[in-house]
Formats: sequence, structure tokens, C-alpha cells
Amino acid sequence: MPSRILLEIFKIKKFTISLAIILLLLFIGLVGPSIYPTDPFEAVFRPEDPPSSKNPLGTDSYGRDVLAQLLHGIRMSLYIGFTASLIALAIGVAIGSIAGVKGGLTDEVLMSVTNVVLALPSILLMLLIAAYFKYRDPMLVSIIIGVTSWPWVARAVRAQLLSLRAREFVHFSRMAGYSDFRIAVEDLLPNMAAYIFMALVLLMSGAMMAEAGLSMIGVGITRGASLGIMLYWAQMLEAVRRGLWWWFVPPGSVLVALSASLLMISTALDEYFSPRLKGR
Amino acid sequence: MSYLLDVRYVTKVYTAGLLSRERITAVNNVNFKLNSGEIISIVGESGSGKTTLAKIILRLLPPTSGSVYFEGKDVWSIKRREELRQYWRQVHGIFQDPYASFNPMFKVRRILYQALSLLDENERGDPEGLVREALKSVGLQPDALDKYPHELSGGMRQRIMVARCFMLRPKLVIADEPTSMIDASTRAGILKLFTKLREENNTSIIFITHDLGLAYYVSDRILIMYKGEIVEERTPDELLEKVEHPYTKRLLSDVPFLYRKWS
Amino acid sequence: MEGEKAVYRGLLKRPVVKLLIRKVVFLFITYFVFITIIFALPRLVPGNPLAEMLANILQTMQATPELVRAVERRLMEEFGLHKPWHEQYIEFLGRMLRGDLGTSYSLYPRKVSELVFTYLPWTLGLLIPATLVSWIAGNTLGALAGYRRGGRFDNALLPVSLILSQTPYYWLAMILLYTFSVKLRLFPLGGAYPSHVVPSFTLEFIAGYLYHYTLPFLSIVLAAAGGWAIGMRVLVIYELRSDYVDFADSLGLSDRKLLQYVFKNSVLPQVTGLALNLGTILGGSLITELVFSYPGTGYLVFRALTRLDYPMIQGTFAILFLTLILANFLVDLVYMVIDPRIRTGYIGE
Ligand SMILES: Nc1ncnc2c1ncn2[C@@H]1O[C@H](COP(=O)(O)OP(=O)(O)OP(=O)(O)O)[C@@H](O)[C@H]1O
Ligand SMILES: [Mg+2]
Repeated sequence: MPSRILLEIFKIKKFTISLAIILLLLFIGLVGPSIYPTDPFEAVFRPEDPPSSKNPLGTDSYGRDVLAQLLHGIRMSLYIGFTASLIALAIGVAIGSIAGVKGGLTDEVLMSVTNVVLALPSILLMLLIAAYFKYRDPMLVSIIIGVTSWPWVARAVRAQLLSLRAREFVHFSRMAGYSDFRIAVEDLLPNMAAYIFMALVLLMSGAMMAEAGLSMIGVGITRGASLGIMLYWAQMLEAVRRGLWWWFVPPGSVLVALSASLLMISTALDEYFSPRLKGR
Repeated sequence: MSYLLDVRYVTKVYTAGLLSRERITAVNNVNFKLNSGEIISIVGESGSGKTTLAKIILRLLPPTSGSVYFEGKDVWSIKRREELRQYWRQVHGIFQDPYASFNPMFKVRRILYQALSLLDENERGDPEGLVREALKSVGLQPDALDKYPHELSGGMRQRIMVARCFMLRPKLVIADEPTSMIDASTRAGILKLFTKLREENNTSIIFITHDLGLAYYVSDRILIMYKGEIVEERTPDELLEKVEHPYTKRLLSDVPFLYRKWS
Repeated sequence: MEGEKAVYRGLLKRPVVKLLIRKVVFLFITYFVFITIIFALPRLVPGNPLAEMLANILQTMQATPELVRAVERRLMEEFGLHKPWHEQYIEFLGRMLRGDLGTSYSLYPRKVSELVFTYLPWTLGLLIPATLVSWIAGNTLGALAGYRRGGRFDNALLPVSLILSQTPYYWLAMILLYTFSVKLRLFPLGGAYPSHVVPSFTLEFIAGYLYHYTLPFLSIVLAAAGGWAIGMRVLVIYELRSDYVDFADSLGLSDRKLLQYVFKNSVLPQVTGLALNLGTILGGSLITELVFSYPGTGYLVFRALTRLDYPMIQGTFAILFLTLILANFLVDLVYMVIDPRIRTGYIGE
């Protein structure tokens, strides 16, 4: 992709601000735990203490430090969000492009499968699958989220591919004697790239939400902390009714900030690319 | 076998929809022949199958049945890369939608250099010079080369496509509504360029248009296409004297100045 | 007789009817697939959770040996693990079709179907009104914002709906519960009705029910409306750019009439959106129930999942999915009624 496009995208305020928020949270998740080395699982503080200089976000009912949990939780949620969305993206792009390129019977079979999976409510499917695993590590949770979230990507990729293939600029390349491979690399892929990136962004926000949902209902990761697991603990130990706001407000706010920023990024990209990709 | 192009019984059926199997016969049993240096027009309303026919001749869309012969050779039997390049070197097209004709990720330069790659080493000589000259002939400045498609108007894009064809000096140009977005004052100049191409290289041209008036002035023969079929084939002069198909009559009555002469 | 047959055949050829039949067949297939997944999952997952559950009953249940043996025998019969898998599958399908969802073992000896149908009404009573209200309110607000794009209303609504649309219902529920019940003491701390009244058609019960209903209802409505508003706003903006709007403008059509047209055209994709999002809405509201200790299906799912009560998991999910399918079908019917192309038989898709 020409660097001019990147330059123009970075001039969109909505895009840069959202990206900055994501990068900041990513940075916090990556280095936070080492800068603030308090163990998130060690119950060594006075339980249910409000924020203080010793525990900037207070402690939970077991006497564990909430800030430390939050830092580890951000890291975990981003990790699951990213791996799950990559898995979903890989499946979706593979199925969508095979269907779009092969056409015919292959296309029909793949799209029928996709439509059926699309009609199955992914959240119920995730809960159901997760229920049968006794131990759920972050990778398993990512896989469960990934294998249930790909259908709309497959459909979008196929539709986009079909529409691109019918564009006249592909004919021009063909008339210049380009091979199928070169056409795929020069004419199809760069125009798909923006869409695929948008899909990744949306998948990621969906995956982090799904992780939180799974955790809240009791089938999240079985060891470690994520934003969803923090909310789950808060819910199980009645943090709301006991007025321990510092326990459930931070993880929820971070989750909303992450998800809203991702949505803004994809909206900004869509507004930038749609008119161009349609040629107008 | 002296025809340049021989289109025989070409039919194209589109099947749309995954399971519903809706079938559209876009081109139905079309036959026509074209001599070297001849300019013909294909005139028809929207959806009559003109673009579909053009893409089949350009070997971009396989016909459901029928065949296309160019210089006696069945175009759809060509399989080898090198032969295909030779075909597109000699038969080139301009597409109807100037927006969809440009890959938005690349500068305008690409579309012209693509055509250059069809030329032989010795023909290429000074590529940049060739490209600039072609641009100048369609009334564009060389700085257009380094622009992105979305920075150009529809008319400018159409002129670039015309320039691409001129660089190749092919034996046959199929131009699908090549001037629809070019204003009337420039249009005459562009059309003159097509006739010049014929004078200099004996190039044949197939114009595809809605506009019977335009077809009347530029072509040696006019084919009227209606619902996928060629329903009438006339020289411009015949058109004013005897037409048979009711659709042609309707078309004529829509062109006021022709109608006046006719009545 | 003959004439009747012809009428019947003619009816089958009508695009609307064809479309309906295809929809029903498709939904039937998806339900079948879902049931098959429910059947296959525990048998595919490494470690065979069902066998493990049966083996664990002896240790996990604190009850008399006779009861334990009764539970074990009952579940053994239902899962039929000793039989070949295709026999198990056929029996499973048969039971599902008969509506026999098995016996819960964490709430032994209660039937899963009986349990689900005690809890489901509370869920539906919350979910259906909240979904409808959020859809209508969100779309109306979104359309107004899009119509006056960049205006003061738009500028206020956009960021709020953006954030709401990315807020999980259950987290908004926590915030509302904390603010209005814990801090301001305006609303109850949970439950579906006051503990001292029994569900009945008395004024006391209804007033208590609505009092408990407010916060859960608001959580879902607010969070869901944000998404609808954003979607509708974009649709209206696109619609306003299309040719027919310029045309109507040049004809001097009144603002009101134009807005009506634009709204009509933009609302169709939102109906499809509703059908597509029913699952997510259901999932979110089940968790919201947990926050409010609402006695709905969310509680049942949570209980089944955390106690590994597999018969209850299977049964609850089967019913929930069936509910979604029915809702989906209803939304599709509504779509057909309001889509002019289908109504007039213009398209068969
Ligand atoms: N890829 C496609 N799939 C299905 N149907 C198609 C496809 N392309 C064209 N058609 C249909 O085939 C018919 C002929 O289309 P075509 O584009 O050849 O017409 P045209 O004469 O070029 O029209 P226009 O003057 O509007 O360019 C139309 O009914 C069109 O809807
Ligand atoms: Mg056309």
C-alpha cells in the first residue's frame, strides 16, 4: 500500500486518537506488570480497602491488589482478543476466498455451511463448547471464540472478492498479459487489505467482549486474570451491593474504552476507503 | 477468410443467485463480421448485452456457446500466455465505467505502462516519451501520470484509457461508451483521434453506445442490439431510408435531427 | 376438488410462499445442526465429560447412597453411554423431538423442561419489551441525528451512543445498580419482585414487579439502543446521498415526507440487523439477570455451567436456541410484510 495512503489515514483525528488509546492500553498491558510488580493473586492486603497510596485501585474481598489484577487483566484480554480474532480471520478469509475464487459447487457448499453457522448464535455456541472443558487456558478460550466468530468474515471476503474481480481494472491487467497470481497480488490483495484489517479490528473488539461474557457466566479462563474474570469475581463476591466500586468500575471502563476505540478505528477506515474502493 | 473479426452464434447466459438459479440471457445468438479498417457501432438500450458481447470478444468473459474468430483463429482456443499477449496487443478495449477501470491503489502511470509491456523491445524505444506523447494526443498534461485515480474526473480517466489504446496501435479497438463523460467540445476531438488511428494504422473500431446520433456520424455500419440480439444491421445512409425492426424505428424517432431527414 | 388443488398449487408458486418455505426449511436445518452439536460436543471433547460426570456423582453429591444410585441409573439411561453412538444419537433426537430434555442432577429429580419453563417467562418478560423499546428508540434517535448530521443533537447523541453501543449490558447493569440502588437507594437491590409477595395478579405484586423491573430493563434498553442509533444514523446519511433524494428535493417534497421515505428505506437493514443480533442480545441479557439476581434463564444457565449439570446445559441451550429460531422467524415475517419488493413479488430471493 502506498505510503501516501497511510499518511492520509493518520491525518484522520478519529483514527489517531483511537489508535493512541489502544496503543497506550497495549503498552500498559505489556510493561505495566513489570513496572508495578505487586502480585495480583497474593492476598496480603487488608480486604476491601478503597483506593489509597498503597493500593491505587484498592483491594478485593480477599485482600488482593486491584490495580495489579487490572494490569494483568488488560494483558490477558488483549492476548485473547488478538489470538481469537486471528483465528476467526484465518478461517473466514480462507473460506471466503476459496468460495469466491473457485465458484460453482465449492462456493455453494461453503456458503451454505457459512450461512448455517452464521444462524447459530455464536454466544450460545461458545458457552456450550466451553462448558465441556474442565480446564480452560487462554489459548483454548481464544480457539472457542475464534471458531464461532468467523462466518460474517467469510461472507464479507467473498462478496468483496467477487465485486473486485468484476472491476474493469482487473480486465485491464489481464489484457496486459498479467498472470492470475500477479493480478491477485497487485489488484485484489491491496484492495482487500483494508477490508481485512477492518475485519480484524471488529473481530478483536467482539472477541474481547466474548471473553468477558464467557467469564461472567462462569466459563472463562480457569487460571489467571482477565478483565472478564475480574468482573466475574466482583459479581460473585457482591462487589456492587457492598459498594466496592473500585473493583468493577476499572475493568469495565477499560473494556469499553478498548472496544469503542477499535470500533472508531474501523469506522474511520471505512469512511476513508469505501468511497475510494468504489472508485468514487 | 478475409474477415478481421468473425463473431459466430455467440450466446451468454448468466446464472445469478446461489440456489435460486435465476438465468439471464444477456447475449443471444449474435453473428457479425468485421473487415480491416472498418468502423462499426453497436447501439442498444441499457441491459441489451453490449458490454457482455464486448468482454467476450476481448476474451475476458467466456461465452456460453458460439465462437469468436480473429484473423481466422478461434480466440477462445488460445491458451498459451505468449499468444494471448499477442491477441491483446492487437485487440484492445476501453471500458464503460471509468471509475472501476482504475485500481485505486496505483498511480495513473501504471495503466499506461501496463500497455507498454505488451509491445516488443524495439517498439518500446523510449517508454516515457511514448506515454507522454499518448497523453498529449488526448489533451492531458504529463503531470497526470503521477496522480492517483481519485484525483481525476471521469472524463480525464476516459481519455487516459483512450491514450492506452493509442500507444498500442492495435488492429481492433473495442470502445464501450468511450466518451460518455467527456464534454461535447472535447468529444469531437477524441472521436477524430479514433478516425486518425484508422487512417494511420488501418485499425478497425467497434463503438458501443446508446447514442444513435453519434453512431451515425462515426461508423461505416451500425448494428442495433435489442434484448441480447442483433435485430438490425444498416449503413448510416440506409438507416435514413429503410428500417424494419420496430425498436430501430423507436430509436430513430428519439434522434430529432435524423428523424427530420428521414421523414 | 381439482380447483382446490390448483389454488393450492398456485399458492405454492407465489414468491412470498416460496420464500417462507425456504426460510422454514433453513431454520429447521440450523436447529437440527445445533441439536447435533449439543449431542456431539460432550462425546468429542477429550476426557469424555459425560462419563466423568457420572463417575463423579458418587463423590460430589452429598446424599444417601440410594439417591446417588437412582440418579446414576437415571442419567445412564438418558445418555445411554454403553450403547453404540448412532443408537445414542437417534434416541437423543427422539427425546428432543418429544420435548423430553432429561433430568437435572443438580436439582434432582426435577425435569429440565419443567425447570426451563419456570424460568423462561421471566427472561422473555424482560427481554422482549427491552429489545423492542431499544430498537424503536435507537432507530428513531439515530434517524433524527443522521437527518440533521453535524447538528447539535447529532453531536450530543453520537459519542453517547458510541460508548453505550460498546458497553456490555451487564456492566451497565452494575453501574446502574450501584448508582441507583446502593448509593441513592431508589431501587431494590435485586430479584424480580418483593420477597414478601407471591406472584399473582394483584396490584401489590404488579407494582412490586415493575419496581424491580426498572433497572434491568433500563440496562438492556440503554446499552442496546446505542448500537441501533449508530447503525441507523449511518444508513440515513447514506440514504440522503442517493439520487432519489435529490430528485425529491427538486420536486419540492416536504421535509416530513422526505424523512418518511428515507426512514422507510433505512429501516429494512435494521430489521435484518435485529434478526442477526438476537443471539447477542439474549446472551447479554442472561448475564444481566445474574447481576440483578433475576430469577430467569440466566440463573439456570449459570447454575448448570458451574455445576457441570450436563442434562440441564443441553436442555436449556436447546430451548434457548429454539426460542431464538422462533424469534428470528417472526422478525423475518415482519421483514416480508414491510419490504415492498417481497410484498409485491418483485423478487424471489
Ligand atoms: N456478472 C453478471 N451476472 C449476472 N447478470 C449480469 C452480469 N453482467 C451483466 N448481467 C446482465 O446481463 C444483461 C446485459 O448486461 P450488459 O452489461 O451487457 O448490458 P449493456 O448493454 O452493456 O447495458 P448498458 O448500456 O447499461 O451498459 C443485463 O440484464 C445485466 O443485468
Ligand atoms: Mg454496458
